[in-house]
Amino acid sequence: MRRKIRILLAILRLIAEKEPSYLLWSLPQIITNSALSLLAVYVPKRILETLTGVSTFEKIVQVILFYSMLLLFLNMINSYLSNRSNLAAAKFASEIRFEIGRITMQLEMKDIETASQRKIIQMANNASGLTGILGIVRQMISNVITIVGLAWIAVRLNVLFLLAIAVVLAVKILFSYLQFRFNIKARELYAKNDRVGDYLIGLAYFDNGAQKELRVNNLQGWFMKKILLYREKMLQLQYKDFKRNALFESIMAVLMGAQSLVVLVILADSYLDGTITIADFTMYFSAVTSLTAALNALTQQIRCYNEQMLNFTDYQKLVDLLTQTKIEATLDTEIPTQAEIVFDDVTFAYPGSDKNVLEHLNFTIQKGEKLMIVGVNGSGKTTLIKLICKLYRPTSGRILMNGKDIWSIPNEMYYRSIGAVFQDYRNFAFTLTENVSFSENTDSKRIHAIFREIGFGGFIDNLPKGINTSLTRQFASDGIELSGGQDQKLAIARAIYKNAPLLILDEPTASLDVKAESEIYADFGRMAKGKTVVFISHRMAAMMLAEQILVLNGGRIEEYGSHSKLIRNGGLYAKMYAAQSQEFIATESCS
Amino acid sequence: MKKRFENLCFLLTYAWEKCKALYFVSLGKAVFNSLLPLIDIAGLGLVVDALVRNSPRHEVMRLILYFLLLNLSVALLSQLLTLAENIIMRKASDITQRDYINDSIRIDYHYAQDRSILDLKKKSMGANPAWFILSFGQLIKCIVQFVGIAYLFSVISPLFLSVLLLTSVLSILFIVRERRLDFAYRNESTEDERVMDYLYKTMTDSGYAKEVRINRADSILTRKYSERYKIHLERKNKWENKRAFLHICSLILTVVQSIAMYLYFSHQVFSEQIGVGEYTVLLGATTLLAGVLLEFFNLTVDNMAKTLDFTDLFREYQNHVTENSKIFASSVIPMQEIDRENLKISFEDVTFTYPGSQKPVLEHISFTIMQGEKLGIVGLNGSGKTTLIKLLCRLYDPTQGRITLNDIDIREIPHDEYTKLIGIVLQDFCLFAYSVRENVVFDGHLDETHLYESIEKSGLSDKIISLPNGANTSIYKTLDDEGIEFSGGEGQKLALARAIYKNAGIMILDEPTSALDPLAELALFSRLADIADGRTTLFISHRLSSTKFCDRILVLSDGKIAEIGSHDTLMEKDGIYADLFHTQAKYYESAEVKA
Repeated sequence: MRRKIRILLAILRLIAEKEPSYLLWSLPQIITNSALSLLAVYVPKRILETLTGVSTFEKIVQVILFYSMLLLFLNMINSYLSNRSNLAAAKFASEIRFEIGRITMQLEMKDIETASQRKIIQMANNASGLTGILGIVRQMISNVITIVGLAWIAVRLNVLFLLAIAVVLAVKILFSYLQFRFNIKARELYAKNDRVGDYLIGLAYFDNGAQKELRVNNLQGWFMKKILLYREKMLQLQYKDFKRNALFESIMAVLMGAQSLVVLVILADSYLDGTITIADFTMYFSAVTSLTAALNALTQQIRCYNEQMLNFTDYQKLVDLLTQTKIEATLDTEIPTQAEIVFDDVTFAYPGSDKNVLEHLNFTIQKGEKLMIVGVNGSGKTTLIKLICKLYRPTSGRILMNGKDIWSIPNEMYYRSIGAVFQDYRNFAFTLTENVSFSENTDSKRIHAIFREIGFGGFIDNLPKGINTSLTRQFASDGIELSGGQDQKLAIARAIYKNAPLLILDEPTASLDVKAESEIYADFGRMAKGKTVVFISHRMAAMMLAEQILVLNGGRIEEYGSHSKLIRNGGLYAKMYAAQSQEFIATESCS
Repeated sequence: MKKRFENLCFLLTYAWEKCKALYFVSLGKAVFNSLLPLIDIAGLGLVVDALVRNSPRHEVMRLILYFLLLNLSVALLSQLLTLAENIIMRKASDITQRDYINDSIRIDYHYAQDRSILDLKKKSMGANPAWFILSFGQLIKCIVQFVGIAYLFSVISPLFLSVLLLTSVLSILFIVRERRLDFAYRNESTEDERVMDYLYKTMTDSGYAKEVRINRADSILTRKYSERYKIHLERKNKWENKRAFLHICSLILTVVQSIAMYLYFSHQVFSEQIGVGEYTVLLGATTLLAGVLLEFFNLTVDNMAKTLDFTDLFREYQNHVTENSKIFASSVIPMQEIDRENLKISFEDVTFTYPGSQKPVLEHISFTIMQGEKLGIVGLNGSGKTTLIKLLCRLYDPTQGRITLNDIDIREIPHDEYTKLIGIVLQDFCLFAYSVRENVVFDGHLDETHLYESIEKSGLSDKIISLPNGANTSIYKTLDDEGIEFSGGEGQKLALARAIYKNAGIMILDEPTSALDPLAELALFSRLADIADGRTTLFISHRLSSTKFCDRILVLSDGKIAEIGSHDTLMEKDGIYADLFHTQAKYYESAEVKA
């Protein structure tokens, strides 16, 4: 019980923080609602009383007008409050969704990737109904007031009323509780299924690659089967719900009928005994009906309350994930102009896996050095990069930037020191400018300069809106689609624009054609002067840029040195180089 | 008005197609539901009447019993029908949702992400046929109740009924106005919602996670969300205020109505024209009538009118979809005889411009590929290489000219048959979050031997063998906690295995080794003959060392064919191809290579 109150207070605090006006508009409704409920029972009796009593018609008119005005007044206030609080509730819902987005962006990679963690993000969405809790609390309070008032009226006649009502209420509470238990289980199942649905729908509507695959391989039938499975599962869950509800409601109907029987019999007897007047008869009957309805509503509200509390704890779980993430960074640091990276006996296995992807890595990247990382597929190259990017924590060992453990540097600071292009980079459906600078303040001159340097200039000039053209047609009907190579150039421009001391490039020219690739490498020396550059590439031609080459094999450093040194070694690197170059050299020597 | 009627007919027929049973169930439920309150009013009135007339006790008790039993049976029946209705409704809306997704995967590729169609779809979701029938049922319920009430009134006080109706008509005007506002609001807010949905996705989806963190996309996403959110809020505010005003007007009208009612009835009782029992019935009936009229116009007519309006949008949406699904629609044309062992592809003066764009991406492309030929396609970025492939795969149809297969225009070949003839590795291939096996075979015929052969040929055997669950392992962790992430190169190999497994007559490889390391790449090229297996193969690559393996090379420049010929021929020609080749080769020449 105490826990429930604690949660309620936490919810109140959250609402007060995000949208305090909701409290202002919502709470006074307690008074108006209770008043309206009680008047609804009292006023007809009063009028009937006046009618059957000894009165002039004038008196009757007075009574009618008085109460009508009172009701109008209360209703108008109620309506106004309701309108305002609905708006506030909608605002709150959007705020929470926004907050979830903001929180998710700060979580560690490991928290986002696993399926179970994603469930948390999904369930936290239900928290937007939290204003519902206040609404419920408000209704509960007015209900309680109404109930007390009506019970006082009813019990004055006959205690048996309360007994009849109590029995029905007890059963109702039992059912409510059972529903609640079922719902908890159901939520988990729903969320699990919804994840499948979201994934599939995301593919159908948002994923270019998937859309192509489905069409060129005629996979529509296969895909629809998956959709069918997902939806049937959802329907099954819902049918169970419906059937259970129908059963409960039917039992309640029988009980309610019995209750009405008891009440009517008692009232009829009392009237025939002369204990009550006919006006009283109608009032008592109305009171008991309203009382039952209010009690029903109360149990419903308690159930909703419990459910909403669950929603809140889901949301709280998400927030807690964030506090776990944020605790680490404490050191204050300036953004360096140069970067030196040291790997100090680093070993790493992905969370949940036993297999070490990287083992006992020890090496230093000097300030301003250009280091190329090569290795066969799966040797751990991209993982190494991810570790430098603080996306995952080394299982053991440390990574240092300019002597400081990167995990003690606050993210905001650290990430300003890195510009990165990944293998699975993403561009956004915004303008080209925004995709490069990711901010409002853009130095258009610099953007144009960078575009020209990477060979994008001509293409931009041909666009009517230039660098303000939008990508994809999601938000602008005149948006454009870029080819794979152009897409990659955009991502590269982004990394360069950042002007960070450490540049990280994972296969930066994989999608580029011969000329573009050559341009990039030719310009890189110039563009990356003074910067530390770490890049992964399969193109042996990239080694022109590299001062040092690190060869990974099975998560360990196999070779390390300059190009000429490694060729002389005749090891793995030399083999890879030979594999690529043999066709070119052979041909050249022939012609 | 005519349009409304057309929409009505459309909706009724559409609803009949999707959920016949609902018509009957809703009707039944409506009738029973409508009786309940009437029974309550009449029953109570009769009891009060019996009491006031001093009937004997046993008669009063009997009356009470009958009244309650009737009430109970109707309630139980109504429950049953509600259950049936809920189930059928769920089913119906499920079918509608599935249809939407179906549309989205069959529409021509170009329109798959088209903004205007996506918007239309979202807006048109208000035209739910099941909802319409439900509202129709509610309409019937209101009518039955109204008739019942009118009957009660006619017995006791017919004059008042007309007065009541008059005031109710005024209420209707407010409600109609409110509905119009709602529709306009919904129309406007669709775009807001779509933008915020997209932004929310980029904030929470793991694919965007790296960009968000490292390249600090978070601030721009946050900013854009706030901006749009502000706009959305202003819009909502405006609408809510208008709505609130209308509500207040309705309230005042209701009060005027109830004052009139009380005064009139009180006068009737006062002047002893009616008894207390009748008074009770009249009060109950009036309250019910107000509720019925409110429900009639607020919910029922409101819902129905809303649905009709949205039906317009729905039909527009359907039209768009049909117009732009022509490529898939060609699955129903009759299959022609095609000799799969002898495929000849021809581009006959093909020109192509993307829909909505001015500049053609390909111009007057003409060439022929014979059976078993390996054709390499090279050119700078943006020269049209991938577009050419897209045309061959029928993701688009040419703007002018035609593409033929064994002299048959490919537009005349059923789409699903045509796709069987082509196996392709896309540049932005997609791996699905299911098992390795499913990513290769999907729901096709499963041949385990052939599956492992394909995996072997693509160079992925070692990886698969190393996995504890082998080919049953899921890719990505999206749907399976034990799924694994494939590296870029491994993914590419899997996409290749998929294309190989298909055993299609034509193979298309769009940059199939861009993510592979040099050793794996060389291994693939040397296996190329094995992979191609006598099939016609088209091969886009930037690595000119690889195009050497092709019989001929097609060089595109600015959307036109610049050169075509074998490697040796083109090198002799010393044109664009030779230039590109030298550009790449020079890196290797300038380095020291000790033999």
